[in-house]
Amino acid sequence: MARLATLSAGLIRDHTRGLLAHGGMAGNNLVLAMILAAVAGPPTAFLVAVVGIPLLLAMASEGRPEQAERLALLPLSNWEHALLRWATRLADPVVALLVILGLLAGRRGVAVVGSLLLALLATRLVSNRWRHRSPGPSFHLTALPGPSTGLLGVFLGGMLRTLDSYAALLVAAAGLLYRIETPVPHPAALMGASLMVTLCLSTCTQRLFAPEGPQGLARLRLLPLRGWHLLLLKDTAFLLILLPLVSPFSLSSGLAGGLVSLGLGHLRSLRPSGRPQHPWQFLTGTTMGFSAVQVSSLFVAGIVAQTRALWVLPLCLILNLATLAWAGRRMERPRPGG
Amino acid sequence: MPLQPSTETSPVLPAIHCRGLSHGFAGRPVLEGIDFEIPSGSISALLGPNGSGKSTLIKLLAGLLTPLGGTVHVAGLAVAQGGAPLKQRIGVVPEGLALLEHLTVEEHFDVLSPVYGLARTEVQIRRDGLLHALALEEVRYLPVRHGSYGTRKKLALALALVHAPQVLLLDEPFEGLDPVAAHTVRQLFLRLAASGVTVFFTSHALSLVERVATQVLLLQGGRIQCAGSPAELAGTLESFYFDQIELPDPPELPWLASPR
Repeated sequence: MARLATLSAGLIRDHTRGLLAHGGMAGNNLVLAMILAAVAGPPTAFLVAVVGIPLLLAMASEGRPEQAERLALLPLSNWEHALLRWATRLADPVVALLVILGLLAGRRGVAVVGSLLLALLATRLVSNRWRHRSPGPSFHLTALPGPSTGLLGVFLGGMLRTLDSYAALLVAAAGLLYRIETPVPHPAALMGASLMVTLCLSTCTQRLFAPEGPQGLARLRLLPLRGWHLLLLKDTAFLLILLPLVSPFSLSSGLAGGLVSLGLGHLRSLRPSGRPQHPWQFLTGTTMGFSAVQVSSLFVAGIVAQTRALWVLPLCLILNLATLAWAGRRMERPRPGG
Repeated sequence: MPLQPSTETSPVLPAIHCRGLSHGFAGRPVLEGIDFEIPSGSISALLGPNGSGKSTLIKLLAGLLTPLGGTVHVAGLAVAQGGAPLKQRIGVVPEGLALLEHLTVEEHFDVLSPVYGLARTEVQIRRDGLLHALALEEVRYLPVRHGSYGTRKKLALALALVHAPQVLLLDEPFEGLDPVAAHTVRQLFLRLAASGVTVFFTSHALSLVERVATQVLLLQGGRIQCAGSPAELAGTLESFYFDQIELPDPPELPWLASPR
């Protein structure tokens, strides 16, 4: 029993470090937004419910396939395997957080937490079986003219294998419901929906090449394409997902926020991540500090663009192109040693 | 008698030309003052123990790493300024193979080859030829992440060849290949070299190197210790290799002698 305790403690430590490490999911812009929304209290409860709970479930359902592979090599009996699996699931830091919040909230909180835990376990069971099998959407754009349209299809498919895109879709669907149900929707609410959709997608701009992984980036760097060309294809894939989602609300705010996110994201997107990016996960952000700067900038740009789109949008475009040129040059340069 | 690497500058740049090349990681030198030349149309093997810097040297030649010092010219272009024109002239199998895990074998060709300026019909012809030559036809619709290591290695090799490069830079091209595939690759190298393509590869498969390479370079302690054709090296390549490399005595681990 002692060896199982030692082993499960080690597994939990590994999982916790994976969640909280620099370059872990903590840097995702949506996590930051949810923390701020939770602190803001009742006015943002709707947002927390729509996005926060799926986010929490996705966070807690992130399996560690390398742990399972290692465990399979150990001389353990079936019941020991099962015990370890359940022990590590229940001792997950996200589960612990849920339990603490539930206990603080009293009797109703315990019921809510109980339901969430059941949902969490179901999510885990489904995601562990499905995540590594499903190839995700793919776009065969190779039939279209142009030497790099095939790559654009690959980049679109990559973005649609991240949960960030589906969080954006969820927020857009909630916003669309509001728009249909409300006879005269408030312009500020439409702008808010547009910016929330942009926020959901914005972590992708910090990690433009994460869906392809470090080996995919190495392949792209071997191609005879300019760095700005590759980044422009990435930006196009991002905007092809963002713009249809924000168009029912406020196109100018969404576009301004998207351009600013991309503009700042170019500065970070070539940095390698601290952990591998598996499909059907939320994207790993870079740092909480950078997320704070990016989220506040996209909100400022989006809010101002609502009333002064004519001069804000060109400014956002200039920022985007300037950093695109800078990052493109950097991408072409061989990596320094050290 | 092993030849010392050349230190003189040729009037016409050879396929690969390194002068004073050095590199390191985290303050630890990996390569120090590397000088060598590889003539066009040759098949050159870079040998050396694990951690001797072979993969780093391939990355430096491919322009994936910046050297800390020295100059590198590949296919007549300075790697430091090479960019897209350099990548058009070289074919690379890097250490990690650099594949797009979510694409199928066939999709890799369809997506990446047009970037080299190949027309769609030409891509199809070259793709089908390479898939046939490397026995990848049966796995053409297989997502790369589900492929065996050998399949992935053969695909990386096919991608290095699809744009008919002048210089091939290959990191361990024979590792993970079955004997038939290794034979095919060896024949391919010989044909490529006969048509003027330069093949530069790293390997630990000494018997294969002996049969295919026209020039061998031995990298140890961050330096090219010796270079020459296998015929010029004393005895077999294996005996030469072990003469050059200091062999450690395996440590005594008595508990290994009594399995549980």
